[in-house]
Amino acid sequence: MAKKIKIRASLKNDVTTVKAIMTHPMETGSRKDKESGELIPAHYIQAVIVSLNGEQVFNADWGTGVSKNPYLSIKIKGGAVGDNVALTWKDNLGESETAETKIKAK
Amino acid sequence: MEITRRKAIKGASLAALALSSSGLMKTALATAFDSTDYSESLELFLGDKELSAGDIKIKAPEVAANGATVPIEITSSIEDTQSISIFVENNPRPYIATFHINPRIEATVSLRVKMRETSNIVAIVKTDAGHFVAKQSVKVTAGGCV
Repeated sequence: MAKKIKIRASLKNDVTTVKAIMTHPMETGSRKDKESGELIPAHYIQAVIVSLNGEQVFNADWGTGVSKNPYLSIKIKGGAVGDNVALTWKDNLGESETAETKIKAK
Repeated sequence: MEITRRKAIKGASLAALALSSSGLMKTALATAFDSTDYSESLELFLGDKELSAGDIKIKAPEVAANGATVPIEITSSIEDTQSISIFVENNPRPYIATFHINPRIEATVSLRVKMRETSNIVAIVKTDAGHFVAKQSVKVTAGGCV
């Protein structure tokens, strides 16, 4: 599968800023297909998890109101250059994806 | 019909909250996400807990040209912030998201939300001392497909 999550982690003043863009349609289930007029089934990310060196440090519950191709930025206290940061999302259809990056100095 | 359904949902969720079993709590949360009415989604989310004004900063554009993607940043300066939840009052499904905060991360998140029309963005912070709220109005000139 093509890389669907872009993730960056940078360390500055002892704070690691994680920024990610996930490729996902975030369909609400109430939008209609323009040609067929039929409802497009809901398809959205429900859970996002961020871990530092394999240990979970953050999670979020999402509904359909988060924009398509969601952007998320959080700040982890501490972290060191070269540490591993991973982000996983899970959607309402049971699909999931994970991307990893190493913390870089800013 | 609509009223009966809402009452049924409310009843079920209050029962779930009263039992406060984690499985049932998740059901109440899912119902809050599905709710199409702001006060109802808030009630499902909070249960019988009260909201007080708190030191929460919402960074959002005064005017959003594109409601499909409105960038917002929420920062809580409240001690012992456990979670930050976001609602958009006038959206068809007002409950947007909850971000769980712990001592290893700072109580600030940035994301982009959908907005159907001009509305308040509501941020709710949960702590052991209670629930705190802040609001900010965003004028939407072209609504997003929500």
